[in-house]
Amino acid sequence: MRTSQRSNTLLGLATVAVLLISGSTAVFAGAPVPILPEAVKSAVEGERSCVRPAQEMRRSHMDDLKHQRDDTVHEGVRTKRFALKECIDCHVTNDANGEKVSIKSREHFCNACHSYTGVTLDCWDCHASQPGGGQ
Amino acid sequence: MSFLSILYALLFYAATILLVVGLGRKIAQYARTPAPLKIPTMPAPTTQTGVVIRVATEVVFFRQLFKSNKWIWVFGWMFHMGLFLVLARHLRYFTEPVWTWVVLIQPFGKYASFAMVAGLAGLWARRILVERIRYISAPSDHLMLALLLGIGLSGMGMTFVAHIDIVSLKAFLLGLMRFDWSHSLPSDALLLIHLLLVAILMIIFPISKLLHAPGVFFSPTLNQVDNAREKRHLAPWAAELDAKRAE
Repeated sequence: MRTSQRSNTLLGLATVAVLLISGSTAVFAGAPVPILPEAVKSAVEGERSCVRPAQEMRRSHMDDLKHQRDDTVHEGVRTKRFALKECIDCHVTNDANGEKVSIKSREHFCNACHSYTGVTLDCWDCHASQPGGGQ
Repeated sequence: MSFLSILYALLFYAATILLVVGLGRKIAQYARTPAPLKIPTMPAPTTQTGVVIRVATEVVFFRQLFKSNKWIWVFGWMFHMGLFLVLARHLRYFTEPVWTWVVLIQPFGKYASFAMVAGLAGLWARRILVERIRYISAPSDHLMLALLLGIGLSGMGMTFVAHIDIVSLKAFLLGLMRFDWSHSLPSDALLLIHLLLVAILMIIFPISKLLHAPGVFFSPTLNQVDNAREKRHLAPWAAELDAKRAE
């Protein structure tokens, strides 16, 4: 009984130590989050807004884009609202030298979150990831 | 931090401590439990390396189940391998930057969830449809399957039906790991259900039949070397009695 109590205490202390060590590496640094650039223009004139509310864009932009792809490729219907080119024109990112960054950089609007969550994309195998063309 | 986030943060801190301490205590107990007899299931390996290979084959392929019942093996193995891939896919929420191999298995983990849920459904059907098994099934056997199925289905709902804000979720989780409580948990219903069920699973894991996961490594019929003739098997407590008799 005695030994098992002592080993339980030890185990408890070890757990607390592990938790503290795993946390202490960045206790004061805080959780890393993706850094997103501000959009350079607005979808609605005079308002700071995207084509849909931000909360919805965060959750289901991929569905809009896929739907747009099917409309365009299968039906031949080309609309501007959910066009990839429009996304890129607003959400352009400039690096420290004022140069536009490509999808390869983690500063890129899309890549900031996509690399954060481990979601890979094949949009940019064909499409340009910067306004005016260019990878 | 919203009220809901505080509630879930406390829930997960408590669940993690209970899981780690509970599992640690159980493993310590298993390690101390005497195995007085030499009882490997024959034919058994005659070397320690052989035993390592034997245990590994059992853990990865469920060899004994495969030999005894093919259809139960299909469902059981589908569920466990599916669960393994799905869990590995979840590492993206706890690592920053995400490890390359975790990025590479993302699509596989996604479809492994179908195997996982199909396996669970098969195992549950077994409990209900096979009369002999239904007779020996306790409520906890059914509830455990329901819990795992609930976790699987709510998770698949978020992947395939109603997406959630996974960036905020990751910020919240990384925050919990670094004691930075400035990020709120997204309050989508599916996510809250999923996380609640996972916390329940973590809490009951160390007092449930799911302990077969660490337990399989301590099974004396599996982990003993067939060397009874070369080396006398003597449990420590029996050695004491032996020494006393020799006096």
